Amino acid sequence: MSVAELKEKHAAATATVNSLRERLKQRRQLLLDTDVATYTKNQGRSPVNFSATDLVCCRTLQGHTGKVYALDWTPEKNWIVSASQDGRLIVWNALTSQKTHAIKLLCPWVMTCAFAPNGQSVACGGLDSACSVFTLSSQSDRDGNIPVSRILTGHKGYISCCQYVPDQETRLITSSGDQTCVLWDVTTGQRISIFGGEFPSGHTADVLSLSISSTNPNMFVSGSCDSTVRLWDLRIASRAVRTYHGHDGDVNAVRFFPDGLRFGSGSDDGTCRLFDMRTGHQLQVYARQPDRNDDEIPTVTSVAFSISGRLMFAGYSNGDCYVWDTLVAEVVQNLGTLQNSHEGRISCLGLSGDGSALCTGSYDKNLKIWAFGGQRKVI
Amino acid sequence: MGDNGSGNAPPQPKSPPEYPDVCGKHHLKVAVQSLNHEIDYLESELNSMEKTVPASRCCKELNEYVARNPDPLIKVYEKQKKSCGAWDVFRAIVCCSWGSICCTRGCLCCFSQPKRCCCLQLMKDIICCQCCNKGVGCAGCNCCKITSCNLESPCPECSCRCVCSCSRCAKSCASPVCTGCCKGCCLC
Repeated sequence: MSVAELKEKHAAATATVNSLRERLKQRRQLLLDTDVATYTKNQGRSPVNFSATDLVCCRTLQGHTGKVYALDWTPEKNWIVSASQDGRLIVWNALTSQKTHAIKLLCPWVMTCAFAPNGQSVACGGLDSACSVFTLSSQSDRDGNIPVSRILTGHKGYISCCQYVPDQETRLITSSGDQTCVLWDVTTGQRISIFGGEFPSGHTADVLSLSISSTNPNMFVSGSCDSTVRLWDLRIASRAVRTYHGHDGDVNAVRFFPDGLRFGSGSDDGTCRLFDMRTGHQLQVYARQPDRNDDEIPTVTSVAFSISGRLMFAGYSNGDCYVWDTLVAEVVQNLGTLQNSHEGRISCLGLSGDGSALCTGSYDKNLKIWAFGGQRKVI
Repeated sequence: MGDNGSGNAPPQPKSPPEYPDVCGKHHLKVAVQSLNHEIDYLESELNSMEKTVPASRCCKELNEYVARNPDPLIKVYEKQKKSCGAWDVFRAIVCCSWGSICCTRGCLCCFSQPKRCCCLQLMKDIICCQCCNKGVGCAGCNCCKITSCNLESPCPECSCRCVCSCSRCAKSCASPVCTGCCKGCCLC
């Protein structure tokens, strides 16, 4: 085939793609007959009522000497692992605020950390493009450092996020600046599957975050600098199951809704969005009211849902930590304005396994635990 | 040396031969292949849209899910007036191990005196009702929502998960007295 013929084919294919995208967009518009807030308000539901003392900071975890970049809870034990610019992982007993482990990393440029489901190992990754796994029961060396148990190498870019597959200590997923996600066998250190990259329908820019469905651990979503979120099936690495469009900037955070069928996302465009995994519908946009004092719109750095899904916690680059009523799409509290709140950007947050506490991590070098401090009513 | 009279022209510099733009052609082929993959992907997505339910259905599911599940971070619980099955009582489990801030305010489990339970292992003198985790019966405890209930028989207050005749519905109810209210909760 000549170059001229190829150029003709290219032009025709481009026109077909654009036409299909437009048809898809129109078809989806027809199906978007409402959003969550409109539907909920039509049901007569009012926003969750929060007073200033309902959510209180009951612990401040101090010990890092640099910005906190990531945190993760154990599913059951109320331990937290945090990763910091100071090049360390710290494991905390969240109830007592005690540090149980302080792990000095080989590469200090860490960006993410995760607890294994059994709470016996932690994983982390960052600019070294590798994921390091530490067994907490390992004997420390002469300097008091826990040796690394396994290093997972293979990514061609930084590791932005890592998460263990629920209930599987030997399976871990990482997301990377090389535009791919990888499923690893931690025992052997081998890559089991690569999601994206040379395969079509993969991300076309750095992948910044991932979240695995709790109800169907074969499914996970990834958020990327290409402004999209993509759904993947662990059993089918060759192509993304679905692509979710909507954001106008890097998608910094993704998190599954507790039912495992919806997920939230947070972006550089300053909004959070709620998508339905199966249909692809964008169910709700959570946009801040414009603030006259903001020179630029604060970006969303992290999102998490309460155990019922009624509350969505969103951390922002200006230190705000909004508590959104997920159903009504209104802000019911800003943890950033409460007493003892953080003094810097909220970089990460997460709920405890039983949903009774929220942990936030910040550039102010601290982590804080928030819990309900009010009087409960049953009506 | 002299003119041999042959008339041979002196050698002239020649332009380099025109080689085909291999790199450009290959690049175009890859681009066309990629676009064809994209077309397949978009066509399959368009086909799947034919069976896609409207957003209002998803919003309904979302509301129903939130209503069914208690939340330790929210202060007001509404008793479920309409239940999925035979159970009308909806109790909130409040067990917060975060010290005196929460637990001294009282525990709403069981509508009566809160019972000592497993949380004593974590902090002394904390009274809470995360009891079903350890099999210590707490009447009216919404145990099944928080952790798997260790009681041999289904937790009497377990929120009903209905039996659905639809083969695609994954919901099933462990309660022996469920009247099969699938229509209310089967969303397939």
